[in-house]
Amino acid sequence: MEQIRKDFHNDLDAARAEVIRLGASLTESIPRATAILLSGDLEGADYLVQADDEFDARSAELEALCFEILALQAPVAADLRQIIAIIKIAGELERSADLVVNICKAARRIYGHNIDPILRGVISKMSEQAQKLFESTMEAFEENDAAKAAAIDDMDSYLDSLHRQFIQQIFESHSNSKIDLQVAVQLAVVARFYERIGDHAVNVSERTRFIVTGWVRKRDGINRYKARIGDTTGEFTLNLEQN
Amino acid sequence: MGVVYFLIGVLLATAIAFLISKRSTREIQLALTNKSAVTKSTTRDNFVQLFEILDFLETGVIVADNNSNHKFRNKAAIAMTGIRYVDILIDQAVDEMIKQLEQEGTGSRILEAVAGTTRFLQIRGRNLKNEYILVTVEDITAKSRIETVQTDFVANLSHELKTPIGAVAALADSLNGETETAVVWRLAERIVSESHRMARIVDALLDLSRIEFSGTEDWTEVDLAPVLVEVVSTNQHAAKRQGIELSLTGASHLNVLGDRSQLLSGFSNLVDNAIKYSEPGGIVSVSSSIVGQLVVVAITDHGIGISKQHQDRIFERFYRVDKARSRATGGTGLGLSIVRHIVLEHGGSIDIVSEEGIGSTFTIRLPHFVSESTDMPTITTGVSL
Repeated sequence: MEQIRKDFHNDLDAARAEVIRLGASLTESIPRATAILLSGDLEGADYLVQADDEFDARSAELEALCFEILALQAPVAADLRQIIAIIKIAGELERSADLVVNICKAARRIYGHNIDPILRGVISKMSEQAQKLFESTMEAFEENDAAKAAAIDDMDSYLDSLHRQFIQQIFESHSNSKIDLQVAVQLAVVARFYERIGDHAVNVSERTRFIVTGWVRKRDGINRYKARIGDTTGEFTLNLEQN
Repeated sequence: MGVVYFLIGVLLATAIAFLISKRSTREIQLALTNKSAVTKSTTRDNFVQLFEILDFLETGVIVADNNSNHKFRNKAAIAMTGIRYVDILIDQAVDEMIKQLEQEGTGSRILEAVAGTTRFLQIRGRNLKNEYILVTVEDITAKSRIETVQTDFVANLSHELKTPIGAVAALADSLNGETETAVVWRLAERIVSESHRMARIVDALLDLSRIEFSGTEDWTEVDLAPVLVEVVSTNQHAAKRQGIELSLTGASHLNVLGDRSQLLSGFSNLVDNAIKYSEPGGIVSVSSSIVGQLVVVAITDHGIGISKQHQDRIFERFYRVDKARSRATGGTGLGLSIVRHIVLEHGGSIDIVSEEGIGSTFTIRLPHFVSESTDMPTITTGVSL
């Protein structure tokens, strides 16, 4: 019996360690992709695009490991929350890595075009903020720090405001003929990638809160839907919080 | 238990020998076979000492067994960079190295991690007699940066000099046998301008070495206030032509000890740059003040700005942020490195704060000189930046 528990804990530790490592690779790839975008480094873009295959494989393996633990060990309580959260986090990380790849692909499309310095400045800031978000998110996960995880959402609002500022600036730069339409469209999409990376960081931090306290985000949409169809079974809540 | 301690002891002693004297494998093997000599002197105290020595090293040292279990990590190996995600990536690379060496052999790789600037970490591994695996991690960022600067300098220097020489040769070739006066004039004019460009670069290079080797014998007390007035008035014309407002504000009696003409050319270079990289309608301001025991001069523009990745390289000789644009602005590529040399020679410092699209501020701090004969108020000591 003891051996089984030991294996189980080893597997759980391995899954957590892999989340932390995937998170570190992702965090590092954000400034790397930005440097590629701003310097038009096509070789670097190819390297990151290819590296994503390994990332995908690793996150798929991580999920498989979690399914195995679920099937063979049937964990409960905190351990169960841990496994469920890791399965979800693996998806978030994988999707975020795809967005980083998308930034590299955009670098290929705008290669050779000049980017207005003001836009370059805002891109750097968005990248820094997205990286900071993931850095803090992964720290919160590693340290099981629910308070730090809860702060990520607030940090993300700055990235959102940078995104809005960037879109506004694209219109201005375009109307002053500082960038052509093709670049303007590509850059608008790139800005969206950074903004989405930030959202994924918020999702990961919510999963961390779920692991530590069982907290689940309020499902306002579900209750609106229930009210609309006349369902009177009461408010939908997932009550998993620890007592 | 004692056996394990003994083994680890032998290995760590070997590790130190390997690290410090970089002995060959053969020598390490000899040391390993000479176990009996070590046994007698190996005590717990020796281990403590050994760990302390290893913790003192800046190189990360990790010892693992054949099943990839870490047996020892020194302090440096626990937090190599202090940046959490980079440290995790290093851990991962170390584990990969250990796995790769589980059977035997040696390995080496360079890990590149982007954290603000790019960090380079060299990871070396060695399987010690199929029993333990030793991995070392070394931060070689500074070393590789120096290498890049050197190779870039040589490449850029030859490029910068070869371009005008090539042009002169081609133009002279066309001139040979040309009879039409207008064409001859045009070609000759181009030859003159290209040779001037080359002369400018050579002059700038000579300036650089002159500043490096010039002593402090000729230094006098220089008031920077009139120097700045002169800099601004000589650049005013160029600023007006580009539609840029150039302003000067600040304190008087900014005395420093130094070479007036060098200081003048340094500040002039910065103002000239600020104008070059501003858009028409922009503002370039020069402001000066005394902060503590320092004279602080800030030159601010609202131009294109410099991205973070270039900021720590722009003072290098011939370093270009945007090669195409530099050709258009006609610089030698040596201006900023001359400025930096002058400021450092005068015991000062130069910093840059810049954001792309917002502008740049170059701040120069020089030691404030208070001569005993003047009636200047004495500066309160203990106040510094």
